[in-house]
Amino acid sequence: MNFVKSTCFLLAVALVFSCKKDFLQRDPGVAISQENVFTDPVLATRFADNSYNFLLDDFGRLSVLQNYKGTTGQFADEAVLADPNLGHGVLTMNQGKFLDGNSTDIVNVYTRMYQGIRNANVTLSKVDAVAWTAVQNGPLIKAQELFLRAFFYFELVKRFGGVILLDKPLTQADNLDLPRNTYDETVAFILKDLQAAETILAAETWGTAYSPSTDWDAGNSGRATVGAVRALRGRLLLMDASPLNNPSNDAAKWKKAADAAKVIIDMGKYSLHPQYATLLNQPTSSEYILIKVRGARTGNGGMLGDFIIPPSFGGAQGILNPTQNHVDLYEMSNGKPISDPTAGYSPQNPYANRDPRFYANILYNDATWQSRKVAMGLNNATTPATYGVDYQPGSNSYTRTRYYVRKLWPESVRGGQGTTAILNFVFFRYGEVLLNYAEALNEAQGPVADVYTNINLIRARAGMPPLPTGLTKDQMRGRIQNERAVELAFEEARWWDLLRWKKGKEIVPQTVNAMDVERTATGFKYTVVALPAVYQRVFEDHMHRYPIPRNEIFKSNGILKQNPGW
Amino acid sequence: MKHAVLITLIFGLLLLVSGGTHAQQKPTGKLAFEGIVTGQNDTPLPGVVVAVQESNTPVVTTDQAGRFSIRAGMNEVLVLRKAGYLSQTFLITTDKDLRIGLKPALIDAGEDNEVIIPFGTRKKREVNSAITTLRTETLPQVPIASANATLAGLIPGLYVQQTGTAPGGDGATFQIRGRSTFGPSAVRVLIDGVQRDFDNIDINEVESVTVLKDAASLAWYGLRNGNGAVLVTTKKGNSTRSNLHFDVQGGLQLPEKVIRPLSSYDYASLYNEALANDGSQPIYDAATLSAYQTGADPYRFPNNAYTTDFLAKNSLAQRYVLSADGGSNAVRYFVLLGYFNQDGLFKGTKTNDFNSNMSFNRFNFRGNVDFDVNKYLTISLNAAGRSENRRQPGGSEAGTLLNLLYNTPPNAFPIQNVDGSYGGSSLFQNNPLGLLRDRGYTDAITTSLLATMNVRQKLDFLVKGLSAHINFNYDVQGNYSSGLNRDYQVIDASGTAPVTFRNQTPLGYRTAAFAGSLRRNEGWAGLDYDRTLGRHHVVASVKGYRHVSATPTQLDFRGQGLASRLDYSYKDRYYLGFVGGYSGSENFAPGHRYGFFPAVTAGWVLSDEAFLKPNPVLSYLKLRASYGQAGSSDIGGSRFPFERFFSRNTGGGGYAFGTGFSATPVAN
Repeated sequence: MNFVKSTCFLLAVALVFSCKKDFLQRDPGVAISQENVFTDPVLATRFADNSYNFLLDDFGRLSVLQNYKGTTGQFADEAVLADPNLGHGVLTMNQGKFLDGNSTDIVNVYTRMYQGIRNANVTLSKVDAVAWTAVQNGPLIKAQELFLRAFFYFELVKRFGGVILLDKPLTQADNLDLPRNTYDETVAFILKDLQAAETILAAETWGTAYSPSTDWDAGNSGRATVGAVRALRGRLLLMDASPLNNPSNDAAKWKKAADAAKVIIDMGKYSLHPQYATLLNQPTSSEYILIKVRGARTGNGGMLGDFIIPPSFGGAQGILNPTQNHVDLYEMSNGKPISDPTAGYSPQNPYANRDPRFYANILYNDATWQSRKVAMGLNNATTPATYGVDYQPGSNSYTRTRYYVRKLWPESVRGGQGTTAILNFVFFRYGEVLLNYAEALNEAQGPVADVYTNINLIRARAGMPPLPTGLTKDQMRGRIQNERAVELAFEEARWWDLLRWKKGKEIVPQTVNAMDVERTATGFKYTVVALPAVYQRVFEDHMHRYPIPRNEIFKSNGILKQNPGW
Repeated sequence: MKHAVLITLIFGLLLLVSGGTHAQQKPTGKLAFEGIVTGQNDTPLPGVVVAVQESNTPVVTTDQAGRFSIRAGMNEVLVLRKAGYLSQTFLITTDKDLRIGLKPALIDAGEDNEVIIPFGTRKKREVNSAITTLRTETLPQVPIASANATLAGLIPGLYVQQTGTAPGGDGATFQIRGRSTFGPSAVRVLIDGVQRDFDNIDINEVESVTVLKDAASLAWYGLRNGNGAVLVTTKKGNSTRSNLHFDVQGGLQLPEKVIRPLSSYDYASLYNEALANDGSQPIYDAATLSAYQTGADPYRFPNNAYTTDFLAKNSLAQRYVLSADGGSNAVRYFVLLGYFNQDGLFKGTKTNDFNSNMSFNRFNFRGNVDFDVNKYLTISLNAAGRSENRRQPGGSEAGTLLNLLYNTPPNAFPIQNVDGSYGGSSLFQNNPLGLLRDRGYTDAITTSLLATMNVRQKLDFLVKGLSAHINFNYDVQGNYSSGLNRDYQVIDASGTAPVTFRNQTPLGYRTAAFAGSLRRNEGWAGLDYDRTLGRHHVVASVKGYRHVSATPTQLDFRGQGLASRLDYSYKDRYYLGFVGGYSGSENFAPGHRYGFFPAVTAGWVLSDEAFLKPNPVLSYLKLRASYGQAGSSDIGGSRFPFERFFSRNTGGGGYAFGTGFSATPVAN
């Protein structure tokens, strides 16, 4: 009897521990495993499209506190950040503390790019095995992922030089302590991806959704195109030919860069938008090569309401403030720089007769804006003295330089209100291609006619007279560099130009100036003043390349080597 | 809130030996038996406690000559106990002078030297790893809510840290020999073999607390308890005697330190001084300062002392515990019913409708029953239940209230205006009296039901010394909050026309909120072997286990494994042990889920060797050493870190494409 009982008992024990499947292998419930994502072509396309989310796709993006604050222009001589909060990702860069955890353009971008690269690599490793149906197109997905991977690597190479190159997703079984590839290998890797993407995009057609001649249909606008691939290649080759990466000034590199830009011009597909002032506010434009498509924006919080628009206009913070240094780069409308005694510049009437792009880019004292005058002057006539409503000396929510950015603030957008306007983040536009071409051609061949033609196209669109003829190569270089600073102002260009030109040490530590404005009986008195020390910058030669984030170095067991000087 | 139990008043401690019905019975059929108890070499043993099993007969103790006299019946069983000796039972079959011999126990091998190990016990002498067992009779009997906190300072290697002081929120955390892992570092508490909350157990439910400290003792659990484990056993009935306990305890809690804020006069004077330092004009004129000083017009010039007005000097805590245990040879039981109540420090909280003071109320019950089905099969059922109720004023606003009491300027507003309405201003819209009396309260209620079934089948008929064992538990816990809600208005009467802030609302029920639910199952099953062959003693166990812990809106957590150990001793002098845990966690990648965690131990009682035996100073000397590995699957971070999971959406990967946008231009 007992034997029977105990046998039953042991059987019961055996039952408890027997199982149909592995007890620890979990069906993940509502979440989907990666394997299952790629068994469904619809989910697979969404997985692929997720790669786009890792692009750096807005002007304000550096702050860890509010991710719509902080631009790279505030690292350069273009603008300052009125609110020197550590968490905004700008102050440490101004102070040269590139290794600081708050230097988000280094720490966060490094991580974000590799996340994007991984998403692209996972997709690329699976794309051929997915059972695509008629409503998806595998090759076009592959081309987009190749383009995006190239774009992510471009963002890395322009910051760090050579980086770890991955063309397949790593698993936890793989060795993760990988050495950096060289700068040249990284550039070659990007060019290879771009070539592969271009080959597909130039050949594939897919119903009404895509053809190489018409690009994507309206519903798919914003995806990679042949033009976008070529524009990225042009930007990459220009960077590669620039002094930072071309110390011997090899003219062949400049020629490659010029050719890459010329290919886009010769496509005949793109042209300049007729109006410079509304360039960023178009639903579509022949000038756009690739933009981030997003809905119209309001001035109620977000980048506009909390970064661009000051409290006096209903916003929360107007802390992207152009410097006097940047304002001084705008020529007079007669085409002469303000330093030219014959230009007619009057320091007491500094905003008269300037390059029309000055009025399109900058809000200055006494400018008319949203049906009133911008008022930033000190009024000594009252006791105690008062300031115009758009400037408060004690508040970092107002401008520190007496300038606000007009370019990123469509006039119809009222601070704190729901009215909307389009403000595109433009990855690539035709204007930049012309500038790239002119710059590369001038370096490769000197100031030949084609250089003038293309620069003057840009100037004519803005309403500026052509460049004077007979410039030397060096003079032309200076004019082109000035033209880029003005034309591409606040479009994430200036800082990167300074780095590739290796002019950081020359330009960035220069005293950052503001305009002091005082109301007088008849008008205003203008005085250029230096900003307080917290807005001044440090820059050393080694800073032309960012350091690899310190935690990555520490994690790598000494395999990952730091850039020189850091 | 800073509470500290400073004074503990034991109002009464009543110990009733044996059951009441038996006490009235006449000792019919009882005879007086006399006898002598001897120890080694037949020497008489004084001080031996002699009792009659399952009887109300008073316990006697042997005299200097080892003699005793006790009333008992023929064929009843005597139970003899003395520290340092093995307990002995003696069946009375003759009325002649009884001669009973007690055997001395080896040092650290007596009944009081039992050390609890997972699903087993060992004599202290046999243990080669770092384990400390604490019996509850040594625990302090104080009316504090947290069982964790009672262990502070009692067990070497156990670090107890108390960070909270709210009633029912003073749960202390454990660390054993510091942190051993990255990420989560919690020490698991295993009550009756399975993971459970110890903090809110009534301390009278507890038989012993054991701390497993080193890898050799933790390897059994594989990768489950890398930071150490605390094993708690609950009380069981004893067939030798029946007991009924009723404990009543009361305590007074006093805050250790209460900030003493400034009076309105001091505050205003210092404020003026601060303004003067900044080069500004004072905002309080002499007349105002004087009005604060005299207190003549407390409505226009209030001088509030929030901490004394709203914080009591002390509050009460009380604990009542009724327990009974006993049984026959076949069935043994332990039952307990406990109530604990702790009040908070807020003053004036009682209204006609409710009392919003902080409080903690807890009911505990437990019934542990062991049933010997036959001489081979024993079934135990341990069932416990608990209800905890933590009350706070308003909608969990104890924090707001304390902030208010400590941070509001004394002259901010009169607590009550002339007409009895609550005072306030546009800047200070919270009134502490209003918050205490007119915001209702919230009860956070946790109920738990814990049940453990333990079955042991001896398999001596197959292999002598072999037994099979199953332990399975089913624990559920639910949390929800409910209460009453009301709101008040504050009136700023300082201006010409009174201004009202906040909206008054009548008394109603607070929306009850479900705040979580937990189910835990853990099953252990396996074989034990315990055999003495001459001078060789072998104890071995092999058990498999699985555990599941389930909460809503996520996948349940799982783990499983095998645990084994083998202890061998020779001559009760040389000890060798092996422990092997093979366990797996769902949290790791396929192919890497399981780990093997071995440990070896060795011990040598040097003092029993002939060459040390004559030494009168060194009565006991043991060398022990152990080496082992314990793992931890609590690595923190997201679950299933080996694989990325994706959520479903209906859009195109979250990134916008297309041109379908428009702008709404503003009409200028």
